[in-house]
Amino acid sequence: MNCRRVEKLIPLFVGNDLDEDDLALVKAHAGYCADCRISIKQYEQSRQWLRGLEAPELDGAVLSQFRRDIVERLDDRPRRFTFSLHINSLEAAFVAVLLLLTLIAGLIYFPRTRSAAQLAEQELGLPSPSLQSDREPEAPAVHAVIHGAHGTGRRRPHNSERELVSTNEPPESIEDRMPSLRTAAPVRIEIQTADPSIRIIWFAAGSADLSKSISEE
Amino acid sequence: MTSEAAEITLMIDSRDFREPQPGESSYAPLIAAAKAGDSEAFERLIVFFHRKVLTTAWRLLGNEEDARDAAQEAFLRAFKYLRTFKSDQDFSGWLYRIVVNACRDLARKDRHREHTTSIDALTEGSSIESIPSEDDQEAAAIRSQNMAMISQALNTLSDKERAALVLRDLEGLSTEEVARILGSSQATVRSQISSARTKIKLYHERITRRGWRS
Repeated sequence: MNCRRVEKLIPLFVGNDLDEDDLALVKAHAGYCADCRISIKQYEQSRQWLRGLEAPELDGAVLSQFRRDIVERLDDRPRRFTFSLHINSLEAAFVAVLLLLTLIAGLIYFPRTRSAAQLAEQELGLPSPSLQSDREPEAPAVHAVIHGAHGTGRRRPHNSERELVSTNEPPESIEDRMPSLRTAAPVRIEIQTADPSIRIIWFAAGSADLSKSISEE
Repeated sequence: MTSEAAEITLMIDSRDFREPQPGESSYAPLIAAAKAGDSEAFERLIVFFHRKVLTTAWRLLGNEEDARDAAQEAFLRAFKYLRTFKSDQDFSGWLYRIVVNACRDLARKDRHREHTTSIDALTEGSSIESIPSEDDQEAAAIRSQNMAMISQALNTLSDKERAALVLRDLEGLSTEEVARILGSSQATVRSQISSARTKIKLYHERITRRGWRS
């Protein structure tokens, strides 16, 4: 075996990290090669020198403080730990779905309740800033006549309105009497972002008031 | 706390315990109690292992402050992942792995910082009891310089080489254990150890030629 091959094995030889075959080879070679024996000695000396890196003897106060710090940090952890245990992914998904449904229900219900409130105000003759009779919609309104099925479709006709049907007079729109029922064509809202290539276009099923207020702006 | 854990606590409080050697299972009941959620049992485990963990972290990082941070982080991780520890595993090896990873993460985080003179600061620190008396000031200075040289020699190694060398030559673990801790094959570990020993040898030769005492 030549020295070059043995030189590669010496770092492992000094730490007894060779298998038996390689160990025997290095031993045999070192028996007659002085250079490799010197190399082995140098490796052993450097290993011994390295072992002089004694770990610091920390005094009791430092160790006590060290332990206290860990325990304090451990005391902080269980709260987070418990939370993560109690809210598992299934429960989190359930809560998320529940919140989403609540949000959707709120969005659907809110306009209805508002419309009902406005109707009540109108029928009771209460003043309402949103029900001014002199405000005419600019957008073509869809008339919800009494005998028509369309319109809001959410309320039964009032008795007084039924009377209108029984006469031969031109059909009077409910919205002529109750402006809150006026609905406008979808309002197109365009918002130009800072990026000229991005424009947000939003079609809102708006009311007459909304379409007017937007067009005024 | 369970009665078993209470007995262990009493045994430890008698202060005549010694740190279990690798392979010993005298702390197995403590591990079981800690796994069951007994934080006091885990505190006892800290008492058992804190010197070993601190020493290993210091050898891997060469800096007392960083070593303390890494050791703390290692114990916190051990507490967090204790549930994943299996009773047939070697707790020391498991903990070593956590320590090495914590040190590696800290070293990555502090890569920009230089620690080449940290041993000097450490040996001059008030927390070290090994400073010689006034009569031996010269010996202390030589020792301090030597420690700084060794630290610098270790700084010439890559993280993986350093970890392999520290665990094999300073902690005295077998190649197989080192491979398991580092998550590498034994052949890879041998290669890293061989390379590391060669670098240390070259560094040692260089400083010996310059006249440093070894």
